[in-house]
Amino acid sequence: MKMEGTTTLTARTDGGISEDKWIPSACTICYGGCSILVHRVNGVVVKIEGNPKSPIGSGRLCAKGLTGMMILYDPHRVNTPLRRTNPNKGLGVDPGWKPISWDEAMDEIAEQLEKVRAADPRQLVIQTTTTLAPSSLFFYAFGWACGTPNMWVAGGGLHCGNGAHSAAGTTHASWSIVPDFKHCNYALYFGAAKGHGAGHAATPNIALAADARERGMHMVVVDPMCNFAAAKASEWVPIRVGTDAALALAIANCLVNELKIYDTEYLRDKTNAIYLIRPDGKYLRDLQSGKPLIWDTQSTSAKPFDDPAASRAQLEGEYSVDGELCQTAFTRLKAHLKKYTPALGEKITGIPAANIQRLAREFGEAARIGSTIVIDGVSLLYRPVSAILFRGAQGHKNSMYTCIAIDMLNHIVGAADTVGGTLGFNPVCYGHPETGKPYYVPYADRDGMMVTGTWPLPHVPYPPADPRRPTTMGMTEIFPLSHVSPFIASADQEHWWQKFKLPYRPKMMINYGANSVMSVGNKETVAETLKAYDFIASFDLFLNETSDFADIVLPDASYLEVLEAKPNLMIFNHPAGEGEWGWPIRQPIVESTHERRSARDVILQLAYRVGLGPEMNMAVNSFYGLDGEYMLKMDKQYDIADISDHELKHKFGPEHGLEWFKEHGVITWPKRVEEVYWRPLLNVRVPVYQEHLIEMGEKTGEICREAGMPFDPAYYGPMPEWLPCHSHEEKDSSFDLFAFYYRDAIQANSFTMENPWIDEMARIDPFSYRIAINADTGRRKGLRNDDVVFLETATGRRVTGRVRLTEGIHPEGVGIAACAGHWSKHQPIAKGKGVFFNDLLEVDFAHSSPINLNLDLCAKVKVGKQEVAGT
Amino acid sequence: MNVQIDFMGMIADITRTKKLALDFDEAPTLRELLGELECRYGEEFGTHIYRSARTPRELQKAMRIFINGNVVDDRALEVSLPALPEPGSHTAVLVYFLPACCGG
Repeated sequence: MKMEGTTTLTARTDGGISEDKWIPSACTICYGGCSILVHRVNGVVVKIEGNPKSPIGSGRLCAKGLTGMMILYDPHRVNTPLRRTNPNKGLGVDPGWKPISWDEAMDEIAEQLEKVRAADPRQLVIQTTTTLAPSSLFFYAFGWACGTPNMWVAGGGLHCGNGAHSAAGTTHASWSIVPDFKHCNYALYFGAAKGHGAGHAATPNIALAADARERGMHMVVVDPMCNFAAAKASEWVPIRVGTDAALALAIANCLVNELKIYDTEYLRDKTNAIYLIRPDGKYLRDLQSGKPLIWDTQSTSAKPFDDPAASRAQLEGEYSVDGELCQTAFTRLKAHLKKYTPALGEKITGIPAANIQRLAREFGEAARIGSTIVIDGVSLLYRPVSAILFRGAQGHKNSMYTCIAIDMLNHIVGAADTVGGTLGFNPVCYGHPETGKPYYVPYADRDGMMVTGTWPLPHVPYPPADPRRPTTMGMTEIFPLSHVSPFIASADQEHWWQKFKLPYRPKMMINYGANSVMSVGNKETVAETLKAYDFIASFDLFLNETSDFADIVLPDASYLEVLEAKPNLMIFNHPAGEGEWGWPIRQPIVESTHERRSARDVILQLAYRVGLGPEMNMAVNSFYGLDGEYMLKMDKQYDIADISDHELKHKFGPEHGLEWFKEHGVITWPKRVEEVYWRPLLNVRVPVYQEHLIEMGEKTGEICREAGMPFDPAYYGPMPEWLPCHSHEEKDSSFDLFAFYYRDAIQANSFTMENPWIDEMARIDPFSYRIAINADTGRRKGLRNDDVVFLETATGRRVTGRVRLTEGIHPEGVGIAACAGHWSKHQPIAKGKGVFFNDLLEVDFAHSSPINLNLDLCAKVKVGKQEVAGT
Repeated sequence: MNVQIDFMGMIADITRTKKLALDFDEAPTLRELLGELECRYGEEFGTHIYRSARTPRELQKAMRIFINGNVVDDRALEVSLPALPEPGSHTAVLVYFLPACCGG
């Protein structure tokens, strides 16, 4: 019988059970952060399950989460600080690790830190990983305290963040989007797996998606591969890699121009579709107020968008204002979309035109435009359709337009943050009933466009800052829509730093759990950038391919050994839709053994040690929104428990401090209808016409041209286009297949390959460690299951692996799971298993999006049988 | 009124000082205070504080400004700094620039 939070202690001398306790906490095997109960017997973790009292999982847990104790007790963990003895660094070079004490390690790191702070604090680089996203905030706080702008999520942002999060933030005030599973009747997935074992709020979405399918939600999955989501869908639509925008635009064209299905009221009241556009593409603005103008049919004159006349504004038409012929944004959009005929869609995507028309019709009709529904006594718009996207669709050079085009389908039919439509992850919160915290609500900027009410990090998606000359390593100032930049680890970083006269170079890195040699792109490029550092300190659970480049490795405590008052960020990994709010904590289940320490504790103490206490405390205040009596004082030193107590009492009142949470694990309260279906209730608009990109392009172009950086204005138009990847432009026909990687539901990033239970699952799965190729394509090439093949790019990048032929992949696709193919001798279970897809990827500006720096994640390859010695 | 200002993070590298005290005859708005600081510390300060050159300029979203311990945003720009709560005390303003990073 599970007795959560209770302990039975009986003096036993016969080796029997003296302690039996279930402790509430939070998982950290992926960034989903699902709530867990951990079974501890005699001080040993013996089982992990989902916590039924928390909405973040509601008692469910994925296969990865069940395996957590295998990380805790892995005999290959780093258990003591290590210093390298070999000064030479490189791939395959043994660092010659020598154990040292924590004092020695901290002395040396502090000394190096003082050195870069004295020279130029920007020489310090903070590198983190998506797996530890909420905990990474502490490392960013440390970076801010030091005064460096150079921080990045190694690989994560380049691969998934720069397009999807920016688009979701702009139009849903949230990190990502998901169908309103409870009410949605028709979901259209583009390269997304929400509800199928991966992504934000992974486990909660699994249950929601399963219930929706049982209820009868029709689910269409557009994806080059029929795996985790598509295999459970109503329909799989195989698409040529990297062409999702073309399909979305063709569907949009069918909706607005052929079928005439669009939500006039939504477009008029909730978007900028009614704004008048001048011939130069920019808003027509009121001369006095500067506000965008709309056309009032009653007075037959232009009025500011926030004039009461906007409620009767014309959605379509062309009007002469002071001698200037202007069109509404929607009129321009309709005209723009006309070129994306179903026939063109077929040519680009490989999906038959008739299917594109059918998908458009099904989507439009299922939207039930004009209908309402009553929920909890409130009459709300009912639009039970949803189009969502994630990494698969947006992981290309054209990521920004792809995200805009797909999400635009929701706005055309008014299915955004209303019942049954596409929801952001909790962008409105009016707080716990007793405290009113946390509180955040989107609001309108002076153009009427929505600004997100909260964001996990300071770089909000809208409104973007003006482009300016760069002073950061990533040079993101030039490209304000980017969050993470390839220039932190690119082949051409020095070239562009010289062109832009960057006045410093990176000298010191603090790495928090990232394995960037594997997570970014090809290993040679990333390795060269790591070799350039004078000093790298790395917090790791295991020695890996990246810690080989470190000077000091610090033994991190695992998630079952640490305290974290904020394992879930409300708009990041808390489930959307109706139900409850939940705020759990992560707490130590067992005390750390050996010399392991919580990295957050260590980085806090390092800040105090080098005299950055006031800066660090204020940075933590900023992150956690601590103010008033719970604000950390500048002149005081805290530990993680102190800060956790401040954070929890600040949000939930003095009676709900750390001790309360240790016992109860999670606090919950009901979501209000107006928090879930907020769109009709808030006076904010979102762009279906990205006017702000025009001026951004003008300024970015000017900065690029000054430094001789290529600039492509095609990416800066106000309306989305389909633009090709490098792989679509490959001229050599022997490179005939599009290689891509996909998120394996049983893996998280690269570190789970070392987990023996997950490894066992992966070995049973026919795809986890193999290269998936279409069966017909493979047979034409003379391939059979388990043949060892090579994949090679036109630039000579090459990987090898065993083949799995399947009908479940596009004939032109080559699918590789997760981030496998480890070679570190310190991870004996992971070593040599699976295929290292990222080794095919170039990391440079040419292979990045010219507007948001997203890395292009597909590679055109040739496939051939690999000669195997002895066969 | 007396305003005590702390600069932290990267913004302190631009101001080259971490503390400043200013006296005003009347309570300035936050925009007026920032205007005074931009005059002192130049255009680079302004480009870090404001996100756009278009007027009325709005704050960089990566900027954190605390007034007497409370975080404020664009909506506080035209509001006068809080009056002195009691004789001899001051209004504390803390300006902190937070660079960007994300993923996942």
